[in-house]
Amino acid sequence: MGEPPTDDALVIQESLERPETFARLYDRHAAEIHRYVLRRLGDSHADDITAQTFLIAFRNRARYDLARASARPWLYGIAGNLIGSHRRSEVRALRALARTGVDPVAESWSERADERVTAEASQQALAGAIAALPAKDRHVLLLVAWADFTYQECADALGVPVGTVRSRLSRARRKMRKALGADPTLVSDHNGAVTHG
Amino acid sequence: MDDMTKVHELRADAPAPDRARLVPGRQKLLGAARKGSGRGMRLDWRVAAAGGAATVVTIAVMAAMLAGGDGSERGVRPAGPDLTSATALLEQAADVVSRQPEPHPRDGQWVYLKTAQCRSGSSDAAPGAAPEVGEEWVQYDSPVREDDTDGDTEPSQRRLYRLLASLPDDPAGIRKRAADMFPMGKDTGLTREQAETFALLSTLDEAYPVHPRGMARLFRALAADPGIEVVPHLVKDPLGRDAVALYPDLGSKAVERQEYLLDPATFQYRGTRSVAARDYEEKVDGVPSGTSHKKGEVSFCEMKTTQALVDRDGEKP
Repeated sequence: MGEPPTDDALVIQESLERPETFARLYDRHAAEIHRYVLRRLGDSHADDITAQTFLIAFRNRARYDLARASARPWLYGIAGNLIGSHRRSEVRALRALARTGVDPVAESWSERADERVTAEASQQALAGAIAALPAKDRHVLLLVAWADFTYQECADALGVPVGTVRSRLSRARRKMRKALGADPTLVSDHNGAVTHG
Repeated sequence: MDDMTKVHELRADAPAPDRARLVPGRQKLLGAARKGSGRGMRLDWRVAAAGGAATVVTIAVMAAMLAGGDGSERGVRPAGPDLTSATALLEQAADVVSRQPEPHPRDGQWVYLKTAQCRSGSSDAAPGAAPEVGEEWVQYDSPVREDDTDGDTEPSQRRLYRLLASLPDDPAGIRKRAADMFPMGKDTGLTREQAETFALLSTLDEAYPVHPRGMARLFRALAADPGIEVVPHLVKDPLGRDAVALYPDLGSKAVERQEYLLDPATFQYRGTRSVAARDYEEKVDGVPSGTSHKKGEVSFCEMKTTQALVDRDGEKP
């Protein structure tokens, strides 16, 4: 066996012959998927959903479009569907944060009471606005803001046209700006090549 | 400050997992890889197909962990619901609900929903924890859920009401209409029959308000479905109340089943739960993992404790 392939598509292709090589994809991406799930739903779901994401991906690997070098959109798409089945929990936690300033999701990783941080008012307003978004708009917003996805990557993850991603994000951002007290019409174009932090 | 920056900062202190936490998931994956198919693992039954276009629909994971044996039920027949067979029970349920009054929902109304969820027995939730109670409001005629142009197929409550109201009489026609409302992805591994059964159960799970004669037709379609079983005695729901439990038969090798709970008097839908069909130990790659489950253990539930039509978002019935 030579050097391990560097791009995900090659790993997936190789895994069709040698299934265990799929574990390389896990080694590359499981940590970030885990953190993304943790951030959306809290600690109690992160292990299960991460494991399920990769099992589902593994089972469906023969259908993977090998023209796509990075498997991140595909994996986030699967994780997003799994997160979607806990929509009520997610919305409930966001509403709790909006109402009380205490975030049940963040509490799940803050082990000590003295680590508890009460959110600032703008975060509460934001959480309320995110809770009120339709699930599909929330997916786009959080893929861009938390997973640093481009429009194209969102489109690949969600299986929708890029134009749909653009309109969903724009709709979501208007609501975020409104919640933050800014003029909702002044949305600067988010150019799809986002890199935060 | 830019709105996206604000969103980016929300929960930004979420930690990355340490390596040890990722090991069990990797082992599961390798276990599946060595079997070559990915079967043999318990997956969340609500998994939607990969790709994002399909709605998150209640899909059973058929296989679950396989082992021998067959759990026999103790049949104690109470007065009231006819638990001799799923067919008898569902025909009775159809008769009862068909006589209930129509709710006459109006556009612009909201559905108030109070839920209780439990997750005992899962990997890191506290076993036996009290159900987590939550409230939400869903727009009856949500334009977002009626927008067909964006690949998202989650139906609005209005669409579900209209579906029930317009169901035909024949079970085959009902199954097809339900399957059109809850399309499955291509990658689920379900047969058409199975997909239709789960579309019927998804309709039962999601539809509110309930059109009485439509629900009666749905019950009759379920009565005609040989894949639906009833637990031959009343069960206690997660809130301690008596309930009738229906479930799709996943074969004698399935160790878990998904139960749909009904009120034993009104046959109103109460919620769903996952129950161990018998004692079993989880296996990873054929090796016992040390995690065992007792027959009757509930690993997940979502009870709809209150549902009502209200006129405004945030209004309580």
